Amino acid sequence: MKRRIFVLTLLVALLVSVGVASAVELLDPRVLDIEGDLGGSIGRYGGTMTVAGGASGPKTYNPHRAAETSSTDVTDRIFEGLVTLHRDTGLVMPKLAREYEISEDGTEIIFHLRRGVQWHDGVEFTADDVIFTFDVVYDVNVGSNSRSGLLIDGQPMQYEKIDDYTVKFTLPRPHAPIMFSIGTNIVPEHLLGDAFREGRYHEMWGLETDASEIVGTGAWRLSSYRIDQELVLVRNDNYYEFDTEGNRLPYLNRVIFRYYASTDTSTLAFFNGEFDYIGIPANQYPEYLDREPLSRWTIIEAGPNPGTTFIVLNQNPTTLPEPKLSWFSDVNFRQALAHAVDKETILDMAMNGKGYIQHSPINMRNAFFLKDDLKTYAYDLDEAHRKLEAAGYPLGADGVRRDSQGNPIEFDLITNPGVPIRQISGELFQEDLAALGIKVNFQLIDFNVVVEKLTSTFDWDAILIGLTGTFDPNGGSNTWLSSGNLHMWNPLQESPYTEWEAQIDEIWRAAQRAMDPEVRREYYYQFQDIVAEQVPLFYTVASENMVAVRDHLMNATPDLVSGSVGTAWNFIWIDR
Amino acid sequence: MAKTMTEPERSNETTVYADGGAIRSPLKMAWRKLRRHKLAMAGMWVLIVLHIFAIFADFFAPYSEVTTDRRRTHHAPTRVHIISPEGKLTRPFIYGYDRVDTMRNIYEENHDVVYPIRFFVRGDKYKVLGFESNLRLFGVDAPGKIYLFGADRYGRDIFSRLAYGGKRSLFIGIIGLAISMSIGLVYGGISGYFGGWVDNVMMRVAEVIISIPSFYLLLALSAVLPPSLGSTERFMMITVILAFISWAGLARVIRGMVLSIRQQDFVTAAEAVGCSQPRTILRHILPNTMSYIIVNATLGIPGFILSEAGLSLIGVGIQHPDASWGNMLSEALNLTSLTRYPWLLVPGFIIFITVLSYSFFGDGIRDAFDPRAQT
Repeated sequence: MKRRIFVLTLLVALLVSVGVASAVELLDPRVLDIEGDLGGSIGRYGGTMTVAGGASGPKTYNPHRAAETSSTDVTDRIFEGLVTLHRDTGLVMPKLAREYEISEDGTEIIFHLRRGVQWHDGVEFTADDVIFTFDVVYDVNVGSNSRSGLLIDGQPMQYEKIDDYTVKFTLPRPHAPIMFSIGTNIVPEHLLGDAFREGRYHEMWGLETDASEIVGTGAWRLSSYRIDQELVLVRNDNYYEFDTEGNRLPYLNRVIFRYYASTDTSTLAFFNGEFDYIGIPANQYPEYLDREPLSRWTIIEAGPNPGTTFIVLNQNPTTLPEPKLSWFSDVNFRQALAHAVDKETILDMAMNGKGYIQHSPINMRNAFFLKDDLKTYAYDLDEAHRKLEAAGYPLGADGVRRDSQGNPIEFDLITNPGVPIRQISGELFQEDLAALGIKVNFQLIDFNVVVEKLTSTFDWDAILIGLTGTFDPNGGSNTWLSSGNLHMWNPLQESPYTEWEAQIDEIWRAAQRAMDPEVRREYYYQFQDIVAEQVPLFYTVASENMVAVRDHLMNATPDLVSGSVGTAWNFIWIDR
Repeated sequence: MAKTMTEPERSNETTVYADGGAIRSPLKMAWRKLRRHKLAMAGMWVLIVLHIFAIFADFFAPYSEVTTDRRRTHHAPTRVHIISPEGKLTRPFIYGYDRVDTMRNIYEENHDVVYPIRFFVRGDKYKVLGFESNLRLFGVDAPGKIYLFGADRYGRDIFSRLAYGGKRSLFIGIIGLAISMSIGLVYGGISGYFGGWVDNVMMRVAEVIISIPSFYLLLALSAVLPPSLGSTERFMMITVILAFISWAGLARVIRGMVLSIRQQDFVTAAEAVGCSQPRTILRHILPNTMSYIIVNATLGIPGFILSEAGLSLIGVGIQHPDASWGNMLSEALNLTSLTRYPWLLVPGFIIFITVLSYSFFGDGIRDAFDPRAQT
């Protein structure tokens, strides 16, 4: 009897789904092992989740025009790539691709696409969309953020359509990290193709576009957006992911982003029950900690933030005048100053002690590549003084330190306002260098101006800033290759300016060729040693990623790769 | 003859024969009236105390404004005891403090460590009004620290920083006003005296300056100050910027007053005996606007103080580590500070007291100089 009802239900369900859905039939669903692999539970349908979206909302819906996280936070829900990273292991997993093969020599990658995946408007996703997307990404005029990661020695890959469900990529040389950037968001050829061919791609899908016209393959469809106030995503009813019991994902009906100008307001909104989960700013941790026992939510500590915060001294020979250039390009000078960064106090003052002291450019979450016996620079002003004296920067009787030509050492340090850790680090650094007889003029300047100085005018002495972290070390290419645009101290070099920069370039390229992770690790170890010796950047601290999650929100655990809950959206459910 | 002609305004002033027949000058009259105004007197005394506190900041403050203590971040105000553990009245003392919770920055008294408060102690060297000294009003022996109003994030004494910050926050008003008054007086005087097309052009220029949204102009001007500017230069520049945008309103009123004063007989008389134009304006006309100016000045100072506080609060005014009441207040701009370290709001309270005192005092002055309010 029971079985018959089950079969009947199945039959009805099948009939209904055939009736509703168009002719596209999903042949290759993606099944998530939520209980086993992801450590969660099978959920129940329904409900709305509200999350804090930060200070401002997206600036565009176009995934290849999106440049800042406020936009990509949204576009990454609507659009997806061929592959994705496993949220806990960081391994490459098929997403829109059903599977992929890499040739023996590492120069050919063949993707077999899932058959029957639908765009939000019901049209089937095929190889044409993949080819179109890579045309878009490689077009300089589009300005996609993914472009630089998909170039190999400045060369694009070759790509061709084998059939409707097969695409082949050919690389100019083996390039191990390519799998971390090849999962760029696929956009629909049938909607954007004409605009692209007319050279209007960059105008498409700005904020003026009606929400229903934004079409991706993702688990979420755009429903509405009131600029910088509230953005609503609704469930994609034809999504291709299922749990192991055959339930179509996602479980939730809607997700709402709400934007508040200050983190204080967001925090208060969370305390008032407005948000289902929220990332805790480290400097507000005590507020959460004290309220937690009385509340129906839990704080989850999720390890170090993948980003870095550091002070960088300019070494650009074309824009930095003497004698600053001589000081800053002197490794002894840099090593001495590195001893004047009081990381412990920064941690204490800016983060209530909830964080990690940083020594390496490698993402602290990626323990595999992180070298732990690096040369470090402990906070020690006496040591800094000794090193400066030895390097020919004597402290005068008047308390002013001068170089060998007698120039008093003085420089400007800038950062952007509104980030407590940057302001505190800068003020402490200023005070410590004053104790060493070095005058630092520390000033807060609008973020856009800082970025402009860093990336186009290059007229700065020292900058205190941060970078977001990628899981794979190769994500730092634009910072560490001497040709990189974020090689901050002397960017866009035609050939390496110093010997150590040449060494890093060489190691970096060798690491890209190495397909064996153990071998790659050796290269990145060497790289970290050189950076620790040369200290182009003075690293400070990384905060603990902390999330407060309401108890009714199930499966909302931060992942191991980035410490964010966002990667769990497709299987989060609400237990009422 | 000549003597009476050079000071003709005398004849125009109200000379009152008070009881006893003694002649009192208008200033003395005003002072008499002011003294009867209780709120104004209270305001005046508060201001005198605050200004002395600021001028002699080095003496009253136990620490310099830049003395940090990184292990005493957000230290709570130290409690001053006068009753010894044995229950006897004793000289004031404080206990040592232990940081019992580093996450929440909770400090507790450690009753085993006692630091008596010492008066007239030797501390950091300083220079005040040309004298060099290291005498400070009070202090405790190292490693103890006395924080009457608590400490900020960097473990700096708020009480000390209030004193040093007062040097900038209070005197920015007086200096700024002096500058804007001078410009306003001369500009308004010339414009009103000459009238005609000169007046027309000068007043249109003044109106242009009035119509500029002042806070945004301030923001723009402060943003272009180079970071290498020393703290004194920066202070002066900000004062000049503030003065520059505030003189125009004053100039307009002065011009109106001058227009009416120059119609009077004593001005005609001064011109008739051959006084030069600058002399007529400066010696004969402008002194007659004095009562208005004094009132305007007292009421105008709070505007300067608040503008400086506003600028420093958003980070473009007085720069760290120099103290000003505005930039001290900026530390209290977040949830955690407000709920956990309420003593960070003390600078705001002092700004409030100062502005209120100036308003009371200015009110009293206005009443005192108002000839129609004579009793």
